[in-house]
Amino acid sequence: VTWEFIHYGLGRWLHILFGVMWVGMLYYFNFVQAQALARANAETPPSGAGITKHVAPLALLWFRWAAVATWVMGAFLLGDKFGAAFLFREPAYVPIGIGAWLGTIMLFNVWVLIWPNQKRLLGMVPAGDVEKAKARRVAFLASRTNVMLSIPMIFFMASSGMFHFPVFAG
Amino acid sequence: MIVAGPGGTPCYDRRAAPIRETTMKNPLDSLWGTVIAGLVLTVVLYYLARAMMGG
Repeated sequence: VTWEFIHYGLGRWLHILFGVMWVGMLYYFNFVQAQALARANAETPPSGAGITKHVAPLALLWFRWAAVATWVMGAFLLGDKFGAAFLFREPAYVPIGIGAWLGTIMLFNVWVLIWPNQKRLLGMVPAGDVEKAKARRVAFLASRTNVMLSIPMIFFMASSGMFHFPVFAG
Repeated sequence: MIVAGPGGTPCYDRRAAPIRETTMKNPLDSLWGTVIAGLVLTVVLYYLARAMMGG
């Protein structure tokens, strides 16, 4: 087992594995759970309590820690090119640098905007009705922002190597 | 609409001004708006990356 295998083989594999978990959960929240909860809560009596009580906390647990693991493995994968990518020091690392910045903004949104506000919504932190309404809007917009950012983020993660091909980069 | 103001000076009557309410919709409120915004951002960042790499 060589260092190159651990770095670029196992490192990339784990980065993608955790990334699938993170973005998969993000898409689940936005494409499935939000719609399902809206329909369930429109029923009389509202029937979404099970999702809120049993599904959302577990999904959020995997979601937020997968986000951390993805970022850590991404930083590991960049290795000594971490600074070159994040500071756009070398032209070859610009595409992956943009992807890394998008992923970093998404990680910030998860831990600073989504998770603290979801704790208020799920009753893990006491909050009044006004506070809950504000928390719902902030968490919703941060989550939707992450869906939006995930689209170019995945593009730059997947295609950064292809930027050097004339057919791709023009 | 011009009306007589204090001391008879003509002034603009704000009450008569037509009120036009425009509501800006946030594209992130809809899933399709979010996806389209993501695709547009991808195109913008692609050209930005190319420019930063020296064309």
